Amino acid sequence: MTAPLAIRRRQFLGILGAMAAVCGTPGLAWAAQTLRIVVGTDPGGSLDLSARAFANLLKDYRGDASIEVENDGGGGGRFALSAAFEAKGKSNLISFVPGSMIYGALSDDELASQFAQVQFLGSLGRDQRALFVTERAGVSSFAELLVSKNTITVPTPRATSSSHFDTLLTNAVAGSRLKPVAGYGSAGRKVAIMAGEVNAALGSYDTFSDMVADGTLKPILAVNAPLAGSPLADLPVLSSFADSEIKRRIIEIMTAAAESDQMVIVPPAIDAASFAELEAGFIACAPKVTEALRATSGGGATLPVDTEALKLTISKIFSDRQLYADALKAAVACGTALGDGGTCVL
Amino acid sequence: MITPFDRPEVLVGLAAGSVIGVIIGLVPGLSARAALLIITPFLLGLPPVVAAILLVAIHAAAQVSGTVPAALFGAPTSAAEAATVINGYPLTLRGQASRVVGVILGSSAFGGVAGALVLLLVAPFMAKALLFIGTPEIAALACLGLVGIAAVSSSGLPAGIALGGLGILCSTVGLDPINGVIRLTFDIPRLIDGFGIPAVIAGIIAIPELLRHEPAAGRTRAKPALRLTINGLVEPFRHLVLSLKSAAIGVLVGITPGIGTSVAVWMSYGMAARTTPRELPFGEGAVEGIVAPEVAAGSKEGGAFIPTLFLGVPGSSGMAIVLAAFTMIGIQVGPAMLRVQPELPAAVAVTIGAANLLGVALCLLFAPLLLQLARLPRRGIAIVSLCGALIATYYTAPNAATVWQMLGFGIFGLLLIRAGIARAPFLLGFIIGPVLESALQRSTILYGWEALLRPGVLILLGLTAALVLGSRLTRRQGTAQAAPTYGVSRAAIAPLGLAAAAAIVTLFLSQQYAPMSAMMPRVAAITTLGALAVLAALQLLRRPASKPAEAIEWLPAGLGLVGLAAASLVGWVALLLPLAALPLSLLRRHTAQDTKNEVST
Repeated sequence: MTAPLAIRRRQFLGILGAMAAVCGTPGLAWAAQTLRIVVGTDPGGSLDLSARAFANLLKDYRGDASIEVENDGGGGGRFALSAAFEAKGKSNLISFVPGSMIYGALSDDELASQFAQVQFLGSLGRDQRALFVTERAGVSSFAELLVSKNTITVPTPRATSSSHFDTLLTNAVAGSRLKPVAGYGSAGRKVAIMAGEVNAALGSYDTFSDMVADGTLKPILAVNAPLAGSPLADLPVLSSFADSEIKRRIIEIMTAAAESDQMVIVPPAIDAASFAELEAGFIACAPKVTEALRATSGGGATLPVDTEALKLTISKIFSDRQLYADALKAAVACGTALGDGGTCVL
Repeated sequence: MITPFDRPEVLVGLAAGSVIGVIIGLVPGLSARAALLIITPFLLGLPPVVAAILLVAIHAAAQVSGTVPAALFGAPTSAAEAATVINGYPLTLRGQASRVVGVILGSSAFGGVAGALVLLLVAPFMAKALLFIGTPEIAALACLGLVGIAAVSSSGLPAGIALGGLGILCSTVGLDPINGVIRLTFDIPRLIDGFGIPAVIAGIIAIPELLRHEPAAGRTRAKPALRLTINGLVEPFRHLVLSLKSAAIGVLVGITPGIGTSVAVWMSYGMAARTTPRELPFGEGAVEGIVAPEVAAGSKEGGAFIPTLFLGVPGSSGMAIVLAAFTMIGIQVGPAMLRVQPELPAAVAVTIGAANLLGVALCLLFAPLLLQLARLPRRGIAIVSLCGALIATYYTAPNAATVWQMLGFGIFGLLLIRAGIARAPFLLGFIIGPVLESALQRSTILYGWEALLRPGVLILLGLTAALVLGSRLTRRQGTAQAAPTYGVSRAAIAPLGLAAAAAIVTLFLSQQYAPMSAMMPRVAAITTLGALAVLAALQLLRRPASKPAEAIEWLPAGLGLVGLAAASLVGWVALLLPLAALPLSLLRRHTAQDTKNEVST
């Protein structure tokens, strides 16, 4: 029988040191003044790809390599937002959060408070959102859809996703009866459309452009105003149905969420010089992100954003948060009722 | 256009991809998906056909080798690995490490080649068939998977159902994606996304396996024997029917987007437990419990290529990366593929098959080294394996909540082991529960009761019934494992008491949720409480025999876990996890039991 080989202290400390050297290396990087970029989605998504492309361009712009990208995709981006909020006064953090955060922030006091205080650098991309139908929907235009008795089902990832909110808000603004069905992943959504399980889709034109090209889907409504020359330029725009103050507020919310598809924020209370430096870096690199993504992904990159107009819109929404939150709540309830076959007038 | 393998650079890409994939797979904590993420940026400089072959080869070869270190060292880092570890590690402890390596490699390659053959021969038909697999069929498939809870309940059906219900209940924590309701988070923001699967696996499987008391008959320092490894390679052929069924499950799940590898693996595991006679019980080293999940995991990826290539829809998260990479390098997929690159599916299929076989050959080269490491005294390996598993798990979601989840589920896992209660039902419920809930709710919204009349649903529910009846007949004829005792020891009071408490709290809190959001947590809680009531009644009325409580070295285990908690509080987990293990190692040196049970060869 051999003696027990419990690890001797020296050997164990050796293992400890080796593990610390391997595991502590990120820590050493953090100890220096590294610029952290926190991405509010999991690795591999479009926001993550944009953030990493931006980080590479920023490294070249700054002439140093001390930029670290990390993912914190929990809570639909709320932890990336919280990271920026909690780094108050520090100029070494930039967070990327999805535009759908605006919907969440309007419904959650804590998020709204954080949103109102973080500083907005801009958005890397503007999402062109549209409503699409398949042949099974039995309609070929939005006007036909409004009077159709067919059930129009729209697959969405989650009840808190932009496409789910947009579906309900489209009902509330235009009086349609779209029925959102949550729980579809992006791949499952496309299969459901191809299989005929659902007969419509609402979301980014980029996401569905291949299905439009092969005739599976037909766009019938532009949810936010299309740019000139866009494939959606000839379609009716949802904002044309906004005939009341509450509906106009809903359109502002939807536009802000679509325009800020890839929001870039920094902590509150940064000194003016540091903020100016971060902003300069953003202005220099942001336009190139779209080109970088187009070069590597072969197309489908998002559209440029009017940053100043977007900042004004978001500022307006969150300075009158209660007004917009109430409008959103009422519109969601109305849209749900219409989708379930009931009646509602906003 | 993709050309056949008559170009040297293509063959080099295949070989290089296989080598890279095997190496990445052997690194604990790195998965096939991680391999793809690492390599994708480097593809741009290569010719498209070489890049595509390299990518597919890496993905396939990483799949072959990925589970080997987890099974040898008892530290799974994913739900898919856990299904193999739950039998592979006990078998390693019985001195059969060489055989375990062979079984894993052979089974994974069997599955990979099976998936490749499906892709080669019947893919166009399968792509069309995919469009008939709707939400109701996915719900029926999930039901089929959950039936496996009965089969893996080696500690008795009531305890198994109770834990399966608890697993489903735990899977409902967080945001209900269908209705947007936040459930059972107790206002903890990090629980909005629910319990992290890596943390649950580390807690339920890795921590208890590595801290449990070594069996007296226990570990032998058997020398690595290549002949045993090679003998293990043909194990899937010795269980040919099981292997074919597992491959079918893997392909079926693979072609259905939105259902992960872990579902395929655990469904296959449950099917094997239900239908296969074996020497050792599942969870204690049944080789069938290694063959089934590994074959399913291997074949799943071949199935996942079908929607990816033919429809342009990724069949898994790994395929999403493959799809993005293919787009980046100019490979056309989707319906247009058959017009532009019709040879692509065949080229991918051949690559998968060849990479699997090459991967086996390469792993046989690395196997002696791994087996030598596995011969090291278990305690030393256990500490390092535990730290490695916990660090790898931490980095999947680097925040304190991950550590607390590992702690909490680790304690629960230790209590289950101490009570001799199987943990597999909990994992089955936790993994398949979300798929079932999502599919059931969507099915109800879209189809109502008409969902039950769909041919695919009828076939799958019929298959479920047939399997249940078939396994009962097999038991009666005495060809399967004898029915497990449903007795539990006093040690079961703690874990089953926790399960009951969780169920009661859930019933109370679910009153504030909307009916559709409350449905699954309530059903799971009622199932758990009902099964526990049946168990209690049986215990009182029949006083059945039970497994004796397993000894757990609580003091070192507790100190180790307290060390983890301290590490999370300080926040510098990467440095402090090894420190947390320090009291564990120092105490183990002075435990008399260690000296008695040491076995030399």
